[in-house]
Amino acid sequence: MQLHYEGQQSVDGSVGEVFRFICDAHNVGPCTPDLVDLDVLDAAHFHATVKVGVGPVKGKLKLEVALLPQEEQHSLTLTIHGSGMGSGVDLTASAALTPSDVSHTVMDWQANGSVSGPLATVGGRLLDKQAQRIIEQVFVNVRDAVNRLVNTSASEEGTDRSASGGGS
Amino acid sequence: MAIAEEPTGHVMGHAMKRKEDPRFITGQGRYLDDIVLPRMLYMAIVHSPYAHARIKSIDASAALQLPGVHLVLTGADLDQMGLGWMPTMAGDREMTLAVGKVLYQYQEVAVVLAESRALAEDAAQLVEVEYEPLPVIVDPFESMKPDAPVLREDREQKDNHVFHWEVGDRTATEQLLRSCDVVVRQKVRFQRIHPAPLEPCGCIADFNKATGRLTLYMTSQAPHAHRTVFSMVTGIPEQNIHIISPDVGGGFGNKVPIYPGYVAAIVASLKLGRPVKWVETRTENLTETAFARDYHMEAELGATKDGVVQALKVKTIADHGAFDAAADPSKFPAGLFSICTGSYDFPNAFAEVDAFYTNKTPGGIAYRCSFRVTEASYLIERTMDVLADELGMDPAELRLKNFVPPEKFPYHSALGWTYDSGRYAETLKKALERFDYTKRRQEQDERRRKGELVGIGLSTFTEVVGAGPSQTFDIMGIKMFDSAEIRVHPTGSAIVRAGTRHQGQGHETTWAQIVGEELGLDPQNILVEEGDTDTAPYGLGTYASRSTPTAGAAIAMAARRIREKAQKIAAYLLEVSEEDLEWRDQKFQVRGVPSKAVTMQEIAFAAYTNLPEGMEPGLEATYYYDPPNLTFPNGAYLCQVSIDKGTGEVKVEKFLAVDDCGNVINPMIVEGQIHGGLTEGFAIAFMQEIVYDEDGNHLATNFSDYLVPTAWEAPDWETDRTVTPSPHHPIGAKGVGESPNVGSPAAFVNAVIDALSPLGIRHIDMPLTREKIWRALREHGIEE
Repeated sequence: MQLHYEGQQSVDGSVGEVFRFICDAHNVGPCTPDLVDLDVLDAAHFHATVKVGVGPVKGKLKLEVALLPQEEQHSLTLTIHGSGMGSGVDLTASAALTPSDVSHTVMDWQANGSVSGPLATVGGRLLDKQAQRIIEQVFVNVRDAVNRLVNTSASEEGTDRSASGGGS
Repeated sequence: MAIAEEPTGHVMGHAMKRKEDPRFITGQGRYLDDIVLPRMLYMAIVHSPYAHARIKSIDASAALQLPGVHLVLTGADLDQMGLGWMPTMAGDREMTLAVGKVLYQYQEVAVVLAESRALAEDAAQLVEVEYEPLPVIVDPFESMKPDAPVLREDREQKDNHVFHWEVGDRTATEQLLRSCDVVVRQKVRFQRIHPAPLEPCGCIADFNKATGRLTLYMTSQAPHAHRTVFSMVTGIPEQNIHIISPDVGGGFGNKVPIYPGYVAAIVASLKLGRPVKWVETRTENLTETAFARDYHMEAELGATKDGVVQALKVKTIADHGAFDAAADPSKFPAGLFSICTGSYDFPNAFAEVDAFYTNKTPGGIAYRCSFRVTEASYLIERTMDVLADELGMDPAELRLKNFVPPEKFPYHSALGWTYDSGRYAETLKKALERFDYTKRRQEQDERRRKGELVGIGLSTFTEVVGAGPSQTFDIMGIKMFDSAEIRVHPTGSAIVRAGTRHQGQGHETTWAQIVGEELGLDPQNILVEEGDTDTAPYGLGTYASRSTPTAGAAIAMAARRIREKAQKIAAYLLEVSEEDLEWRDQKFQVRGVPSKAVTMQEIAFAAYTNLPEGMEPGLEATYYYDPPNLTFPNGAYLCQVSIDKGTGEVKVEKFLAVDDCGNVINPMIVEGQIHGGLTEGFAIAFMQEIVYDEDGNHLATNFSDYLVPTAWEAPDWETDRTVTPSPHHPIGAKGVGESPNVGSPAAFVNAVIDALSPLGIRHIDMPLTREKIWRALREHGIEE
C-alpha cells in the first residue's frame, strides 16, 4: 500500500537553529510518536520501537531510522525501515527549511513509502488516516521540541520568540 | 420446503432426512479442532509481509528463548531434508516454506512449534526476517511482457509463462467467423474468488517413532490421494501413513490441494516425536490457500442474421499466482474449460488458454465446479446474451433456437466432448412457464416506462462432471476411478465404505439410500464410513461433483455384486434354481409365485449360518468404478432483478432454478445443494473478489472484506427439475452439487445487464457491487 503525505510547520527559531536540531538523532528520536524504546546509535541513526494500532491490528514495530542532512539546502531526508506484526514499513521523509523571518522557520515536509503485511491488508481501510496522523505527529513533535528549546533559551536571555505555533 | 414421508420399500427418490444431521445440529460433530491428543504441540506460521522479496536473513533466536517453544523450522531447514519444494498437482512445484525469496504476500516463511497455540503465535511474532523487496507483478498482462521481471528464478524457462493450451480447429473457426452475418466480441473477466469454507484447513500430524507410523488427522477432501502424495514427498512408506479425515466443515475444492502447513506439521512431528496440530486462522485460509477462477476471457461468437450460432473462438489469460497449483486432472491444464460451447450446437469452435505467474497466492482450484466449468459456462451464457442484444432477439428464443436437440445425443461437441444426454428445450420451457416469462417481460416493459430499472436474465448451462474415465483422467498419474466396499451383516444391517469424503453433501444418507434401493435394506440400518485410509477402499475423493457419478456408481455396482451372490443363496433357501428367481419388490421371488420369496435380511443371515455347500461365507463386495464417460448435468435458471438508481443496489425479485441432474437419489438433499450453490453464486455475482493492490497486498483477508452472504442477504430460491437419466450411469444419476454455482452467476449478471441495457450498457464485470453499479449509472447520466 503506497503512502504519500505532506505538510508544513512554522517553527520558532532561525533556520540554522532548527536545522541543527533536526540533524541530530538524539533530538529527533524522542519525537517519534508512541515510543516504547529508543536506541540512538549516533547522530545520524537511531532504532525505535513504537506501539501501533490500526483497526484490529495492534502491536509493536521496530524502526531503523537514518538521517541524511543536506547542509547547503537546509534540508533533511529520513529513511525509515520498519518491521513487526508480520508487516513491513518503508518510508522516506524529508523536511526542507526556509526562513519566514529572522527568528522563525517554515518546515515543509513530505513522506512517501509503502506498507505491507497485515498492517496494509487487515488494517488497510484505516491505515491511510492513521499513518498520516502518525507522520504528522513526528513533525509536530519536532516543532514543539524546537519551540521549547528555543523559547527556553530565549526566556533565559529575556526575549520572547513564541509568535508562531500552528501548522498544517 | 416440503419433505416427503420416510420411505417404505423403494428408497431412491425419497426425501429421507439426513442421517448425519442429528450429530451436526446438536453440536456433536467431530471436526479437526475438536481433536486433542496427549503431548500435542501447536504450530504457528510466520508469513511474508511482502509479495516479492529476497530473504536476507531469518533470526529465530528470540522465539526459541521463550519457555515452551520447541522448534522453529525454516525453508532452509526443509531444503536440507530435501523437502524445500513439493510437487503441485498441476506438475509444477512450490516452496514448502520460502527458500531464498518470497513470491506472494502471506507466503509461509517459517513455522514455530510450542506448547500452546497462543505461545506459538506469540513466538512467531518474534521471528525476525530481513527482506529485500523486489518488483511486484499482480497483473497477468504485465507478467506476459518481455521485459517483466522473471518471478520464478528456479525454472529453466526465463519468463512468466506457465502453459499454453488449445483445443478445436482454429483455422476452420476463424474462416467460419469471417463468413458469419453477425459476430459479437465480448471480454469477460471471472474474478479471483475463494471458496472460504467455514472450517479452515488444518491437520494433526502424529508420528510414532516406535512404530514408524504417521497418523494424520486432516481436513481432506481426498484422503487416499493425499496419502499417496505424502508418501512420495516424505519418503514414508505408504502403509505407514494413516489419514483420517474427520467431519469436514465445507470444502468446495479448498481442501483438495496439499498445503505447506500440512508438510511442515509432518516434519515437525517427525523431528519432535510428538503430535503437532496446525489449524488455520480465517486470514490464513483466505490468503494462503488456493483461490478459484481469475480468468480473463474474450469470446468471438458468430451467427447467422436469424440467430443460428456458427462458430465460437475463445482466448483466455489465466492468472495462476506464484506457482501452478491448480487442482486439475493431469491432462487438462485448463480444466474442462472446453465445455465453453455450452448447451449449443456450434459447428466449429476453438479455445485457447495462456497462464502466467504473478505475485499472488497460487491455486486455481475447482471451487464448487468441475475444473474451470464455471468460467466456461459464465462466458458462453454472457456471450449468448450479448448476441441476443446484437440481434434484437429475446435471449430465451435465441437459446431455444440453438440448443443441441435431443435426437443428437450422444452429442459430439466441436471441442471434443461427448454429451451423454439432455433435453435442454424441455428444461427451459418448463422454467419459462413456471417463471411466467412472457407476463414478466410485459411487466418489465410497463415498469421501464415508469422509469424503473428492471431486468430478466437467463442461464441455460451444461456442466461436465464425474471425473473421470481412466483413459483421460488422472491426478499425478492416479486414475480417477472411485470405489466402494459393502459388508452386509448377519442381521441385515450393513456398512458401506467409499473412497470419497463428504463435507456436507449428505453421503451418509444418499449412499445408504443407494444400497437400500439395490439390496432392499433399510437405509437407517446402513452405516456409511468415509475418510479413513486404513479402512476405506482407495478413491480419489469428493470434489468436482464426482462423488455420485463415480463412488455412487461404485456403490450401486458393489451392491449388485452382492445381489448376485444373494440370488444363489436365495435359490438354495427356496430350493429352486437361480433362473427361477426374480428381484422384485426388493426381494427374491419365485417367478409367478410372489408368496415364495426371501428378503435380503433372511439371505444375509443365511450367508453366515446356512450356506450352500462349498460357498464362501459372508455377504460383501468391493467395486472400483471406472466411468465410461462423464455426466452432463444441465439446467435453466431465470432471474429477475430491479436496481435502485440512487444507491446502485440490486434486488433479486425472483430466482428460479430448474435443474436436470438425471435420476435423483434424495430430492431434499438435492434441493439443499441447489440452495447452497445459488447462495454462493449470488455472493460471487454481487459481493466477492480477492483483490490485491499494486504492491501485492492482499485486501480480502477477513469476512469484513470478503463477504459471505447470510440468510438476510440471500434471496428466496425456487427450484424445480426435469429428469433425463444418464444413459451410462448405473442409477442414471449425474451429480448436482455444483450446478447452481456454475449456472447462477450468468443468470444474475444477465439480469442486471438486461436492466441496464436501456442505458446502452452491455457488460460489467463481477462482482456487481453497489458502488460499481452506482458508478455505471452516473457514467450513463442517471443522477437520482
